[in-house]
Amino acid sequence: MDSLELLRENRPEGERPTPEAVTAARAALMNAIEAEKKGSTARTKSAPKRRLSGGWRWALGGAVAAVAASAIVLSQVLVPAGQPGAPTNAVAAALNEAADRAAATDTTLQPGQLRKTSITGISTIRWATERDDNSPITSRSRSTIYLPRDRSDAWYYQPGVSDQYKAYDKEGWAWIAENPESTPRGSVNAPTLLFRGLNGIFTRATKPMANGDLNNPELAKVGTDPSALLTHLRETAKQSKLDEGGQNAAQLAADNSAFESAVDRLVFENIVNLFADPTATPAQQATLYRTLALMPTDRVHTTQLQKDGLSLTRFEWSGNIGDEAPATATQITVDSSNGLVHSVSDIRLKSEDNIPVGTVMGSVTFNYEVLDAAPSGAFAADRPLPKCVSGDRPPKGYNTCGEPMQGGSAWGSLD
Amino acid sequence: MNTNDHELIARSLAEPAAFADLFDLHAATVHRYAASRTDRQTADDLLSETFLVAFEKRGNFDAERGAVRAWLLGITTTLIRKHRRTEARAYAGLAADKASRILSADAYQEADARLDAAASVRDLSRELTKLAPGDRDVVLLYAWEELSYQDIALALDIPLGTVRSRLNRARTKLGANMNFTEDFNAKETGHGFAGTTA
Repeated sequence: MDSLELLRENRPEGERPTPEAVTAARAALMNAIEAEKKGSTARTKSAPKRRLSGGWRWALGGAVAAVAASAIVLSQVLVPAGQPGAPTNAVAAALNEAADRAAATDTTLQPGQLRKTSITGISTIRWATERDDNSPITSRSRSTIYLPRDRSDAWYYQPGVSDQYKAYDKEGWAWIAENPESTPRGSVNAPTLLFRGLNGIFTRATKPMANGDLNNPELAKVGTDPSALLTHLRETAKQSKLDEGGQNAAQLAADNSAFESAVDRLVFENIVNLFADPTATPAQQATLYRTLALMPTDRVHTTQLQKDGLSLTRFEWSGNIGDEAPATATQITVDSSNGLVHSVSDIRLKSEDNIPVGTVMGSVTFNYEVLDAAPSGAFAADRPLPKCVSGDRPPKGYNTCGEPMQGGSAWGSLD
Repeated sequence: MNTNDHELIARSLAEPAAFADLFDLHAATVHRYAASRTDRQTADDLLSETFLVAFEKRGNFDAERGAVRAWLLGITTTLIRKHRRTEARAYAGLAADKASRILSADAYQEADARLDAAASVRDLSRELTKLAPGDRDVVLLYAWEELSYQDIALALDIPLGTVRSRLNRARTKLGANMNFTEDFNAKETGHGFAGTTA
């Protein structure tokens, strides 16, 4: 037998991909396809961990700064060392307690008052640069929304821009410098404007504002019955997984354990997406807490209660049997003053693809105030639209013709 | 050459969703190849990355040059270079796998011959790790994926003559007692590329 035959005869069989791996790969591809269909110019190397739908778009539009003192410090989290299991009564009780407090908060806003939510968003996206296929960049942004108790009254909104960013290698920094319009730096020194809208829809000089519809249709489906919501989310997640599975859908569904894990993971992800939306009402947040309390945990998920009883951490394993440590932690913290969500974060627990341990992959943090009157300031509707020709390089402070960038402050490293 | 594949790529330029059909057709092949050169976890990542890169670069695919399968495996090959350490472990695993298969068989049947084979595989796996990455890519696409010379040239974006020279160099390094020349020529003829020059 010559060496070529020997090589062929001993070709490794290669382990078959898990249904979850196939589903994840196909979903990443579908996300890229969708991004292209929408005309996105972002050249992400792979799909972001979370779809930037629903609440997670706020991770790119606002910013969270430092997590408040009452929130999680990663080192305090008790990593369960591969021992996921059913949610404890204590976890469910904490969730239901948070729900009670959030529901009570819903009634505290008086007519004419507004709840001001200052939003800080952090997002880490891997960019395919010319020289490096895998340069992660973290950006931070801030925005503010003012919501009345009766959502049919006027909303006020100060969109955010990314005011800080961070790269993790020379290639990333170089790429940022070379592509200012494609990165957070492109929004520096933009004017700070305030928008006023009805029913969550914002316009500028009678024109619809880009991304100016802040309504999240998924929030409208939350309702008040957590069991019904869980059933709805599970049915939706099952169908989504089957759709993503393509020709592998039958195989995926046949592997009941893996399939159910994948469904649970997506349900949890969707609940987190809803928590990450600052337009969720306190009553909706209450239903979301109660729904989480109903969810079982499984081999890839577990939920831990933080020492202060107000923070919940969900650990996600890679899904590979034998992994002893989780790959990411999703953390939800609760504002101790009102039971509302304080922050939602995805944090990397394993170093991978140039992204170090502890990197916040996506995060939104909300800080609340109650105002007795509407905010005042430079309203967008009072400012003339800039003159420019579509396709031209936009004037300073504007991202496209007719759409001013908002906010703006000195930018710099997150370090 | 699979015209259906080519049609899917062409169609995906106007209808991006058509590219998902290519995933369904070739995901198993790409994963198997990646897993044969790395490990399953890395292969899972490579599966996703390969199709994302392919989707982004589909406009550059030249249908005249070869098969979509070869093009995809070429992308995977490029991505594997980021995982050389894992790759080296995979080749060590190749020898271990062979040894385990021998040990699990009837220990008294043709024992000597099987142990010789195990030793040969061990030597081969060791030699594989010593090859230059470019030479190893050519050998494995040829031996394990059974790509033609032309498809290897497409996959690795190198001239046909370079495919030949790399195979010859690999043959020399893999061992003087391993007679690749005749086999490679037979393979080349079998794919209809005999006499083709770069």
